Amino acid sequence: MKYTVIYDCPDSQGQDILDYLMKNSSDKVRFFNIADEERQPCAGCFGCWIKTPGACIYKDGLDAVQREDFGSDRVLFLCPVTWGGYSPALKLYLDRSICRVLPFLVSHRGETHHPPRYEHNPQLFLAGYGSSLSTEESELFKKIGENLDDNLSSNSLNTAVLSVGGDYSFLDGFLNDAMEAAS
Amino acid sequence: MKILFINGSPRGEKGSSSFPILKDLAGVITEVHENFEQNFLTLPRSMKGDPAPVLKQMEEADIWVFAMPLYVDTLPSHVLRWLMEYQKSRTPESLSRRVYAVVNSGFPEPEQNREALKVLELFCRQNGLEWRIGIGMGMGEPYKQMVQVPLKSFFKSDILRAYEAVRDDLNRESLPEKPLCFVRMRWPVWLYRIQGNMGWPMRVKQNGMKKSEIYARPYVL
Ligand SMILES: Cc1cc2nc3c(=O)[nH]c(=O)nc-3n(C[C@H](O)[C@H](O)[C@H](O)COP(=O)(O)O)c2cc1C
Repeated sequence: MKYTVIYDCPDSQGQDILDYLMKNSSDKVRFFNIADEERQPCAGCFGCWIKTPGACIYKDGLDAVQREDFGSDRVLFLCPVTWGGYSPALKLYLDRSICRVLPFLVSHRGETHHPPRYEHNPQLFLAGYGSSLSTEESELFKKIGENLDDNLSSNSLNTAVLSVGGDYSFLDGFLNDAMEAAS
Repeated sequence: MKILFINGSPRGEKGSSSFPILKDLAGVITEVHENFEQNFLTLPRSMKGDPAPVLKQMEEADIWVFAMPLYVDTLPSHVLRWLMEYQKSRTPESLSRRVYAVVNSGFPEPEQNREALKVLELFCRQNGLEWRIGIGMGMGEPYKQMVQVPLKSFFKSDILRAYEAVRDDLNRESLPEKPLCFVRMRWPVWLYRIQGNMGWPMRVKQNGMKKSEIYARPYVL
Protein backbone atom coordinates (compact mmCIF):
# COMPACT_ATOMS: atom_id res chain seq x y z
CA MET A 1 0.00 0.00 0.00
CA LYS A 2 1.28 3.41 -0.98
CA TYR A 3 -0.01 6.46 0.92
CA THR A 4 0.36 10.11 -0.02
CA VAL A 5 -0.53 13.25 1.91
CA ILE A 6 -0.82 16.44 -0.12
CA TYR A 7 -1.13 19.42 2.17
CA ASP A 8 -1.37 23.16 2.44
CA CYS A 9 -1.03 23.99 6.13
CA PRO A 10 -0.13 27.67 6.32
CA ASP A 11 -0.98 28.10 10.03
CA SER A 12 -0.38 26.54 13.45
CA GLN A 13 -3.66 24.61 13.35
CA GLY A 14 -2.60 22.95 10.12
CA GLN A 15 0.82 22.22 11.58
CA ASP A 16 -0.82 20.55 14.56
CA ILE A 17 -2.76 18.21 12.29
CA LEU A 18 0.31 17.56 10.18
CA ASP A 19 2.37 16.74 13.28
CA TYR A 20 -0.27 14.24 14.33
CA LEU A 21 -0.18 12.59 10.90
CA MET A 22 3.60 12.47 10.79
CA LYS A 23 3.87 11.09 14.30
CA ASN A 24 1.39 8.32 13.59
CA SER A 25 2.49 7.28 10.13
CA SER A 26 5.10 4.83 8.99
CA ASP A 27 7.65 5.40 6.25
CA LYS A 28 5.18 4.20 3.61
CA VAL A 29 3.41 7.57 3.86
CA ARG A 30 4.84 10.34 1.69
CA PHE A 31 4.17 14.00 2.42
CA PHE A 32 4.06 16.84 -0.11
CA ASN A 33 3.70 20.49 0.81
CA ILE A 34 2.08 22.21 -2.15
CA ALA A 35 2.01 25.72 -0.69
CA ASP A 36 4.31 27.57 -3.06
CA GLU A 37 3.26 31.09 -4.00
CA GLU A 38 5.57 31.05 -7.02
CA ARG A 39 3.73 28.31 -8.90
CA GLN A 40 1.69 29.17 -11.97
CA PRO A 41 -2.06 28.76 -11.63
CA CYS A 42 -3.75 26.72 -14.38
CA ALA A 43 -3.82 28.72 -17.61
CA GLY A 44 -6.99 27.03 -18.87
CA CYS A 45 -5.15 25.97 -22.04
CA PHE A 46 -6.26 22.31 -21.99
CA GLY A 47 -2.68 21.48 -23.02
CA CYS A 48 -2.80 18.57 -20.53
CA TRP A 49 -5.51 17.00 -22.72
CA ILE A 50 -4.41 17.92 -26.23
CA LYS A 51 -0.72 18.99 -26.33
CA THR A 52 0.98 16.79 -23.75
CA PRO A 53 -1.91 14.44 -22.91
CA GLY A 54 -1.84 13.41 -19.27
CA ALA A 55 0.67 16.05 -18.10
CA CYS A 56 0.43 19.76 -17.34
CA ILE A 57 2.44 21.99 -19.65
CA TYR A 58 4.17 23.65 -16.67
CA LYS A 59 7.13 21.84 -15.18
CA ASP A 60 7.58 23.38 -11.77
CA GLY A 61 7.63 20.42 -9.44
CA LEU A 62 3.94 19.53 -9.36
CA ASP A 63 4.55 16.79 -11.93
CA ALA A 64 6.56 14.90 -9.31
CA VAL A 65 3.69 15.21 -6.83
CA GLN A 66 1.18 14.05 -9.43
CA ARG A 67 3.28 10.99 -10.24
CA GLU A 68 3.07 9.96 -6.56
CA ASP A 69 -0.56 11.00 -6.22
CA PHE A 70 -1.88 9.14 -9.27
CA GLY A 71 0.13 6.01 -8.43
CA SER A 72 -0.96 5.83 -4.78
CA ASP A 73 -3.45 3.54 -3.13
CA ARG A 74 -4.61 6.27 -0.79
CA VAL A 75 -4.30 10.03 -1.00
CA LEU A 76 -5.22 12.59 1.64
CA PHE A 77 -5.71 16.25 0.71
CA LEU A 78 -5.46 18.62 3.66
CA CYS A 79 -6.10 22.38 3.76
CA PRO A 80 -7.81 25.11 5.78
CA VAL A 81 -11.52 25.42 4.91
CA THR A 82 -11.73 28.67 2.96
CA TRP A 83 -15.23 30.18 2.60
CA GLY A 84 -16.49 26.61 2.69
CA GLY A 85 -14.10 25.45 -0.04
CA TYR A 86 -10.47 24.61 -0.74
CA SER A 87 -7.56 26.87 0.13
CA PRO A 88 -6.02 28.68 -2.88
CA ALA A 89 -2.87 26.51 -2.86
CA LEU A 90 -4.70 23.17 -2.77
CA LYS A 91 -7.03 24.52 -5.46
CA LEU A 92 -4.05 25.38 -7.65
CA TYR A 93 -2.90 21.77 -7.35
CA LEU A 94 -6.36 20.39 -8.17
CA ASP A 95 -6.82 22.73 -11.16
CA ARG A 96 -3.44 21.70 -12.52
CA SER A 97 -4.37 18.02 -12.05
CA ILE A 98 -7.28 17.66 -14.46
CA CYS A 99 -4.85 15.56 -16.50
CA ARG A 100 -5.97 12.69 -14.26
CA VAL A 101 -9.21 12.52 -16.26
CA LEU A 102 -9.88 12.32 -20.00
CA PRO A 103 -11.63 15.18 -21.83
CA PHE A 104 -14.63 13.10 -22.92
CA LEU A 105 -18.10 13.81 -21.59
CA VAL A 106 -19.86 10.84 -20.06
CA SER A 107 -22.86 10.33 -17.83
CA HIS A 108 -22.10 9.65 -14.18
CA ARG A 109 -24.88 9.53 -11.57
CA GLY A 110 -27.16 11.48 -13.88
CA GLU A 111 -24.72 14.32 -14.57
CA THR A 112 -22.05 14.95 -17.16
CA HIS A 113 -18.49 14.16 -16.01
CA HIS A 114 -15.12 13.06 -17.37
CA PRO A 115 -13.95 9.43 -17.34
CA PRO A 116 -10.72 8.63 -15.46
CA ARG A 117 -7.46 8.40 -17.44
CA TYR A 118 -5.94 5.59 -15.38
CA GLU A 119 -7.27 2.17 -14.58
CA HIS A 120 -6.06 2.30 -11.02
CA ASN A 121 -7.23 5.32 -9.04
CA PRO A 122 -6.35 6.05 -5.45
CA GLN A 123 -8.89 6.05 -2.69
CA LEU A 124 -9.29 9.73 -1.85
CA PHE A 125 -9.58 11.47 1.50
CA LEU A 126 -10.23 15.17 1.91
CA ALA A 127 -9.76 16.93 5.23
CA GLY A 128 -10.46 20.59 5.83
CA TYR A 129 -9.75 22.27 9.12
CA GLY A 130 -10.54 25.49 10.89
CA SER A 131 -11.64 26.94 14.18
CA SER A 132 -15.13 28.33 14.70
CA LEU A 133 -16.37 27.23 11.28
CA SER A 134 -20.11 27.66 10.79
CA THR A 135 -22.26 24.63 10.07
CA GLU A 136 -22.91 26.13 6.65
CA GLU A 137 -19.18 26.26 5.89
CA SER A 138 -18.59 22.70 7.07
CA GLU A 139 -21.58 21.41 5.10
CA LEU A 140 -20.42 23.20 1.97
CA PHE A 141 -16.95 21.71 2.32
CA LYS A 142 -18.41 18.21 2.58
CA LYS A 143 -20.58 18.82 -0.48
CA ILE A 144 -17.52 20.01 -2.39
CA GLY A 145 -15.83 16.77 -1.34
CA GLU A 146 -18.74 14.79 -2.79
CA ASN A 147 -18.43 16.76 -6.01
CA LEU A 148 -14.73 15.95 -6.23
CA ASP A 149 -15.62 12.31 -5.88
CA ASP A 150 -18.05 12.59 -8.81
CA ASN A 151 -15.55 14.58 -10.82
CA LEU A 152 -12.78 12.02 -10.38
CA SER A 153 -15.16 9.03 -10.41
CA SER A 154 -13.23 7.74 -7.46
CA ASN A 155 -16.39 6.38 -5.82
CA SER A 156 -14.55 6.36 -2.57
CA LEU A 157 -13.91 9.85 -1.32
CA ASN A 158 -14.12 10.43 2.38
CA THR A 159 -14.44 14.03 3.50
CA ALA A 160 -14.17 15.49 6.99
CA VAL A 161 -13.90 18.85 8.63
CA LEU A 162 -11.48 18.79 11.57
CA SER A 163 -11.09 21.18 14.43
CA VAL A 164 -7.72 21.40 16.04
CA GLY A 165 -7.30 19.34 19.16
CA GLY A 166 -10.62 17.66 18.32
CA ASP A 167 -11.40 14.22 17.05
CA TYR A 168 -8.73 12.97 14.65
CA SER A 169 -10.24 9.53 14.07
CA PHE A 170 -10.67 10.47 10.40
CA LEU A 171 -6.89 10.69 10.12
CA ASP A 172 -6.51 7.35 11.88
CA GLY A 173 -8.95 5.97 9.30
CA PHE A 174 -6.76 7.22 6.51
CA LEU A 175 -3.65 5.69 8.05
CA ASN A 176 -5.34 2.46 8.99
CA ASP A 177 -5.61 -0.47 6.61
CA ALA A 178 -8.33 -1.94 8.78
CA MET A 179 -10.78 0.70 7.62
CA GLU A 180 -10.61 -0.54 4.07
CA ALA A 181 -11.08 -4.11 5.16
CA ALA A 182 -14.14 -3.11 7.16
CA SER A 183 -15.85 -1.20 4.35
CA MET B 1 -23.00 54.35 -9.75
CA LYS B 2 -19.80 52.61 -10.78
CA ILE B 3 -20.09 48.99 -11.86
CA LEU B 4 -16.96 46.91 -12.08
CA PHE B 5 -17.18 43.83 -14.30
CA ILE B 6 -14.58 41.39 -13.00
CA ASN B 7 -13.35 38.65 -15.30
CA GLY B 8 -12.07 35.63 -13.40
CA SER B 9 -11.03 33.53 -16.38
CA PRO B 10 -7.35 32.50 -16.39
CA ARG B 11 -7.57 32.86 -20.17
CA GLY B 12 -8.24 36.57 -19.69
CA GLU B 13 -10.11 38.39 -22.43
CA LYS B 14 -9.35 35.62 -24.92
CA GLY B 15 -11.43 33.14 -22.92
CA SER B 16 -14.40 31.46 -24.47
CA SER B 17 -17.06 32.51 -22.02
CA SER B 18 -16.45 34.74 -19.00
CA PHE B 19 -15.43 37.83 -20.95
CA PRO B 20 -18.19 37.62 -23.62
CA ILE B 21 -20.69 36.91 -20.82
CA LEU B 22 -19.65 40.15 -19.09
CA LYS B 23 -19.94 42.07 -22.37
CA ASP B 24 -23.46 40.76 -22.95
CA LEU B 25 -24.47 41.47 -19.37
CA ALA B 26 -23.05 44.99 -19.58
CA GLY B 27 -25.12 45.55 -22.74
CA VAL B 28 -28.33 44.43 -21.03
CA ILE B 29 -27.59 46.66 -18.02
CA THR B 30 -26.97 49.71 -20.23
CA GLU B 31 -30.47 49.39 -21.70
CA VAL B 32 -31.89 50.56 -18.37
CA HIS B 33 -29.02 52.14 -16.45
CA GLU B 34 -27.39 54.18 -19.19
CA ASN B 35 -25.78 56.64 -16.78
CA PHE B 36 -23.99 53.96 -14.73
CA GLU B 37 -20.23 54.04 -15.22
CA GLN B 38 -18.99 50.66 -16.46
CA ASN B 39 -15.43 49.42 -16.02
CA PHE B 40 -13.79 46.07 -16.75
CA LEU B 41 -11.09 44.30 -14.79
CA THR B 42 -9.42 41.00 -15.65
CA LEU B 43 -7.90 39.48 -12.53
CA PRO B 44 -4.23 38.77 -13.33
CA ARG B 45 -3.43 35.08 -13.25
CA SER B 46 -0.01 35.70 -11.78
CA MET B 47 0.31 37.22 -8.32
CA LYS B 48 3.86 38.39 -8.97
CA GLY B 49 2.96 42.01 -9.73
CA ASP B 50 1.88 44.73 -7.29
CA PRO B 51 -1.67 43.90 -6.12
CA ALA B 52 -2.43 47.51 -5.14
CA PRO B 53 -3.81 48.78 -8.49
CA VAL B 54 -6.18 45.80 -8.77
CA LEU B 55 -7.41 46.21 -5.19
CA LYS B 56 -7.82 49.96 -5.69
CA GLN B 57 -9.99 49.42 -8.75
CA MET B 58 -12.09 46.94 -6.79
CA GLU B 59 -12.38 49.27 -3.80
CA GLU B 60 -13.53 52.19 -5.95
CA ALA B 61 -16.52 50.39 -7.46
CA ASP B 62 -20.07 50.54 -6.05
CA ILE B 63 -21.09 47.20 -7.55
CA TRP B 64 -19.12 44.12 -8.54
CA VAL B 65 -20.27 41.76 -11.27
CA PHE B 66 -18.07 38.69 -11.57
CA ALA B 67 -17.94 36.16 -14.37
CA MET B 68 -15.64 33.17 -14.10
CA PRO B 69 -15.35 29.56 -15.24
CA LEU B 70 -16.08 26.63 -12.96
CA TYR B 71 -12.79 24.88 -12.17
CA VAL B 72 -12.94 21.48 -10.47
CA ASP B 73 -16.35 22.33 -9.05
CA THR B 74 -15.38 25.64 -7.46
CA LEU B 75 -13.54 28.87 -8.27
CA PRO B 76 -10.26 28.98 -10.24
CA SER B 77 -7.30 29.16 -7.85
CA HIS B 78 -6.16 32.62 -8.91
CA VAL B 79 -9.64 34.01 -8.14
CA LEU B 80 -9.38 32.52 -4.63
CA ARG B 81 -6.01 34.19 -4.21
CA TRP B 82 -7.40 37.56 -5.26
CA LEU B 83 -10.35 37.21 -2.90
CA MET B 84 -7.82 36.44 -0.17
CA GLU B 85 -5.80 39.53 -1.09
CA TYR B 86 -8.98 41.59 -0.86
CA GLN B 87 -9.88 40.06 2.51
CA LYS B 88 -6.41 40.88 3.86
CA SER B 89 -6.57 44.44 2.57
CA ARG B 90 -9.97 45.25 4.10
CA THR B 91 -10.14 47.81 6.89
CA PRO B 92 -13.12 48.89 9.01
CA GLU B 93 -13.51 51.78 6.55
CA SER B 94 -13.86 49.47 3.53
CA LEU B 95 -17.15 49.95 1.74
CA SER B 96 -19.91 47.46 1.46
CA ARG B 97 -21.20 46.92 -2.04
CA ARG B 98 -23.53 44.69 -3.97
CA VAL B 99 -22.02 41.61 -5.55
CA TYR B 100 -23.36 39.60 -8.50
CA ALA B 101 -21.70 36.63 -10.18
CA VAL B 102 -21.99 34.33 -13.17
CA VAL B 103 -20.11 31.05 -12.88
CA ASN B 104 -20.13 29.05 -16.10
CA SER B 105 -19.17 25.46 -16.62
CA GLY B 106 -18.06 23.28 -19.48
CA PHE B 107 -20.54 20.63 -18.37
CA PRO B 108 -24.09 21.25 -19.54
CA GLU B 109 -25.88 21.06 -16.17
CA PRO B 110 -26.09 24.60 -14.74
CA GLU B 111 -26.59 23.25 -11.20
CA GLN B 112 -22.99 22.04 -11.16
CA ASN B 113 -22.09 25.69 -10.45
CA ARG B 114 -24.12 25.81 -7.23
CA GLU B 115 -21.28 25.24 -4.76
CA ALA B 116 -18.99 27.74 -6.51
CA LEU B 117 -21.69 30.39 -6.10
CA LYS B 118 -22.06 29.41 -2.45
CA VAL B 119 -18.32 29.91 -1.87
CA LEU B 120 -18.67 33.41 -3.31
CA GLU B 121 -21.67 34.07 -1.09
CA LEU B 122 -19.78 33.00 2.04
CA PHE B 123 -16.80 35.15 1.00
CA CYS B 124 -19.17 38.13 0.71
CA ARG B 125 -20.83 37.48 4.04
CA GLN B 126 -17.47 37.19 5.82
CA ASN B 127 -16.28 40.44 4.29
CA GLY B 128 -19.23 42.75 4.81
CA LEU B 129 -20.30 42.60 1.16
CA GLU B 130 -23.88 42.29 0.01
CA TRP B 131 -24.34 39.10 -2.01
CA ARG B 132 -27.33 39.61 -4.32
CA ILE B 133 -27.70 37.24 -7.29
CA GLY B 134 -25.73 34.25 -8.52
CA ILE B 135 -26.15 32.82 -12.01
CA GLY B 136 -24.97 29.29 -12.69
CA MET B 137 -24.58 28.70 -16.42
CA GLY B 138 -24.12 25.31 -18.09
CA MET B 139 -22.66 24.79 -21.60
CA GLY B 140 -20.38 27.77 -21.05
CA GLU B 141 -17.46 26.69 -23.23
CA PRO B 142 -19.16 27.41 -26.63
CA TYR B 143 -20.49 30.83 -25.46
CA LYS B 144 -18.11 32.82 -27.64
CA GLN B 145 -18.79 30.69 -30.72
CA MET B 146 -22.50 31.40 -30.26
CA VAL B 147 -22.15 35.11 -29.55
CA GLN B 148 -23.77 36.03 -32.86
CA VAL B 149 -27.01 34.31 -31.85
CA PRO B 150 -29.09 37.13 -30.36
CA LEU B 151 -29.88 37.04 -26.65
CA LYS B 152 -33.51 37.57 -27.62
CA SER B 153 -33.61 34.34 -29.61
CA PHE B 154 -35.30 31.19 -28.35
CA PHE B 155 -31.92 29.50 -27.75
CA LYS B 156 -30.77 32.10 -25.26
CA SER B 157 -34.06 33.18 -23.73
CA ASP B 158 -33.27 31.75 -20.27
CA ILE B 159 -29.86 33.39 -20.25
CA LEU B 160 -31.38 36.75 -21.16
CA ARG B 161 -33.93 36.43 -18.37
CA ALA B 162 -31.13 35.87 -15.85
CA TYR B 163 -29.21 38.92 -17.11
CA GLU B 164 -32.39 40.98 -16.84
CA ALA B 165 -32.86 39.80 -13.27
CA VAL B 166 -29.43 41.24 -12.43
CA ARG B 167 -30.20 44.45 -14.29
CA ASP B 168 -33.50 44.94 -12.47
CA ASP B 169 -31.94 44.21 -9.10
CA LEU B 170 -29.13 46.76 -9.24
CA ASN B 171 -31.14 49.51 -7.54
CA ARG B 172 -33.92 47.48 -5.97
CA GLU B 173 -34.46 48.24 -2.29
CA SER B 174 -35.92 44.89 -1.27
CA LEU B 175 -34.21 41.51 -1.31
CA PRO B 176 -33.79 39.90 -4.76
CA GLU B 177 -36.78 37.95 -5.95
CA LYS B 178 -34.64 35.03 -7.06
CA PRO B 179 -31.12 34.99 -5.58
CA LEU B 180 -30.03 32.00 -7.72
CA CYS B 181 -30.65 31.36 -11.43
CA PHE B 182 -29.50 28.24 -13.24
CA VAL B 183 -29.53 28.61 -17.00
CA ARG B 184 -28.03 27.36 -20.25
CA MET B 185 -28.57 27.62 -23.94
CA ARG B 186 -31.58 25.67 -25.11
CA TRP B 187 -29.64 22.89 -26.71
CA PRO B 188 -29.96 19.13 -26.14
CA VAL B 189 -27.49 17.70 -23.65
CA TRP B 190 -27.00 14.52 -25.70
CA LEU B 191 -26.03 16.55 -28.75
CA TYR B 192 -23.71 18.76 -26.73
CA ARG B 193 -21.94 15.67 -25.42
CA ILE B 194 -21.53 14.19 -28.89
CA GLN B 195 -20.16 17.48 -30.22
CA GLY B 196 -17.73 17.74 -27.31
CA ASN B 197 -16.58 14.16 -27.67
CA MET B 198 -15.86 14.54 -31.40
CA GLY B 199 -13.87 17.72 -30.92
CA TRP B 200 -11.13 16.57 -28.53
CA PRO B 201 -9.43 13.86 -30.67
CA MET B 202 -9.46 16.29 -33.61
CA ARG B 203 -7.57 18.82 -31.55
CA VAL B 204 -4.98 16.21 -30.57
CA LYS B 205 -4.49 15.44 -34.26
CA GLN B 206 -4.14 19.12 -35.09
CA ASN B 207 -1.26 19.18 -32.59
CA GLY B 208 0.61 16.62 -34.70
CA MET B 209 -0.22 13.51 -32.70
CA LYS B 210 -2.23 10.38 -33.38
CA LYS B 211 -5.79 10.63 -32.08
CA SER B 212 -5.16 7.64 -29.79
CA GLU B 213 -2.46 9.58 -27.94
CA ILE B 214 -5.27 11.39 -26.15
CA TYR B 215 -5.28 8.33 -23.85
CA ALA B 216 -1.59 8.67 -22.88
CA ARG B 217 -0.69 7.65 -19.32
CA PRO B 218 2.61 9.40 -18.64
CA TYR B 219 2.50 8.76 -14.90
CA VAL B 220 1.84 5.05 -14.95
CA LEU B 221 4.65 3.35 -13.10
C1 LIG C 1 -8.67 23.24 -14.83
C2 LIG C 1 -10.07 23.24 -15.35
C3 LIG C 1 -11.07 22.71 -14.56
C4 LIG C 1 -12.40 22.70 -15.01
N1 LIG C 1 -13.34 22.15 -14.20
C5 LIG C 1 -14.63 22.11 -14.64
C6 LIG C 1 -15.63 21.49 -13.81
O1 LIG C 1 -15.38 21.03 -12.70
N2 LIG C 1 -16.89 21.44 -14.31
C7 LIG C 1 -17.22 21.97 -15.53
O2 LIG C 1 -18.36 21.90 -15.92
N3 LIG C 1 -16.28 22.57 -16.32
C8 LIG C 1 -15.00 22.65 -15.89
N4 LIG C 1 -14.05 23.24 -16.68
C9 LIG C 1 -14.46 23.85 -17.96
C10 LIG C 1 -14.64 25.37 -17.87
O3 LIG C 1 -15.47 25.73 -16.82
C11 LIG C 1 -15.23 25.91 -19.17
O4 LIG C 1 -14.40 25.55 -20.22
C12 LIG C 1 -15.45 27.41 -19.17
O5 LIG C 1 -16.44 27.70 -20.14
C13 LIG C 1 -14.21 28.24 -19.48
O6 LIG C 1 -14.51 29.61 -19.37
P1 LIG C 1 -13.46 30.78 -19.78
O7 LIG C 1 -13.18 30.65 -21.24
O8 LIG C 1 -14.15 32.05 -19.45
O9 LIG C 1 -12.23 30.57 -18.98
C14 LIG C 1 -12.72 23.25 -16.27
C15 LIG C 1 -11.70 23.79 -17.08
C16 LIG C 1 -10.39 23.78 -16.63
C17 LIG C 1 -9.32 24.36 -17.50
